[in-house]
Amino acid sequence: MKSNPLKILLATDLLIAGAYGLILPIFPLFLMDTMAGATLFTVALAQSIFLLSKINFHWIATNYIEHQQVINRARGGLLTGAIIISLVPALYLLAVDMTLILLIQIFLGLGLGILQASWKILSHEDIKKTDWPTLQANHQHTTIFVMAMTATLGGFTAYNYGYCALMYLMTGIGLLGVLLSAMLIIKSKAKN
Amino acid sequence: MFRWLRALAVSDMMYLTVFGLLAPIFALFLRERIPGATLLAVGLAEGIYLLTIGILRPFSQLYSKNDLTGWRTQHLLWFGSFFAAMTPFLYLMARDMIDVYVIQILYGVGIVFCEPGWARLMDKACQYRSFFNTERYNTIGTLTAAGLALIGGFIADQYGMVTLLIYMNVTIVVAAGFLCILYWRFGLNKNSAKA
Repeated sequence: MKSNPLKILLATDLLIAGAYGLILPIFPLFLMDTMAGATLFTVALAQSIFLLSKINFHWIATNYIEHQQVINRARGGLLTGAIIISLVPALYLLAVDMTLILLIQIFLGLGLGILQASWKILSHEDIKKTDWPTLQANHQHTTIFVMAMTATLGGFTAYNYGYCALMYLMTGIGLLGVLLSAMLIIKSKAKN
Repeated sequence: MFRWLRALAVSDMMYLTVFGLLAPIFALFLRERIPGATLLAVGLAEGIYLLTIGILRPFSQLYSKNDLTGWRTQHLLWFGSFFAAMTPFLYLMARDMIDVYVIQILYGVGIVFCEPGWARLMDKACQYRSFFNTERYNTIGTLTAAGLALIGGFIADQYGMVTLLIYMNVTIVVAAGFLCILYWRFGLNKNSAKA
């Protein structure tokens, strides 16, 4: 793994997975504790809406990026997706009822859809010359370990310091992902 | 023939992994029924499950790597399906968080053991894996998961957690059994000598 863009791409993915993994297991408890009108059904609905939004925007973003100027659009998409995802925890803190949460879930799906589409296209472009299956397997394992750690860390933070601190932590990690994406664009421009 | 087989294999695997996507219901179930289920304990339970997958996955892949006939992979699939199918039933019987941690490990083992069989079935079904195919499968899987999450939430809200877990148990048993039959019918390479 010699190329810098590849390292940045993998690190961005790990950071975003880590940020999202912090809240993933305790998200329903967060909703039940803090939102008006949160029931079992609305919590499941939020999850369902997020998945539908993610898959729809993923396809739209993939088609848009692959239409023309593939690499430029993909790099822009990576940055846009990372910005949207890092904004979501702040929006969770501002939300007061489940209607807003459902809207935020659509927004999160938009961010994750764009990010995933861009990431997949960029990684395929950058990894062509490397040992892709091995690298892919290593990255998958690393991501799982990171998510396992962040799941526990998220529970620990929320239990000891409250949901607010957890959201700040998520935003911080998300912003690191944004910085890395911006670095990828700057590096590629300098190279060109 | 292969088109329906592909769709069935994908949706079947999604049934087995639907637990993770029903995590909302799971976390609330823990808080409702298990004493000592704090935020930390819920996060730890998820972490244990993921850690189990992360540790065991390379071994299961190695075990079934050069399996020409598919018999070894089939045995993994049997055990994995059994563990995964038992999980909702065990959740119903759990008394404290230690029980839940152990069940999470069992569930992780089940999913990891099922994966090679499912991957082999997919390889048989589509002969090769392209980027576009993978994307299409992901879409089908995500749509299935979204629908199932909604159904799960509705059942839990209307009829209670126990009913939901029984529903999950029945669907998982059916899906796991179906996956085993599919593998036995299409996954084995019966012409090769046993490896």
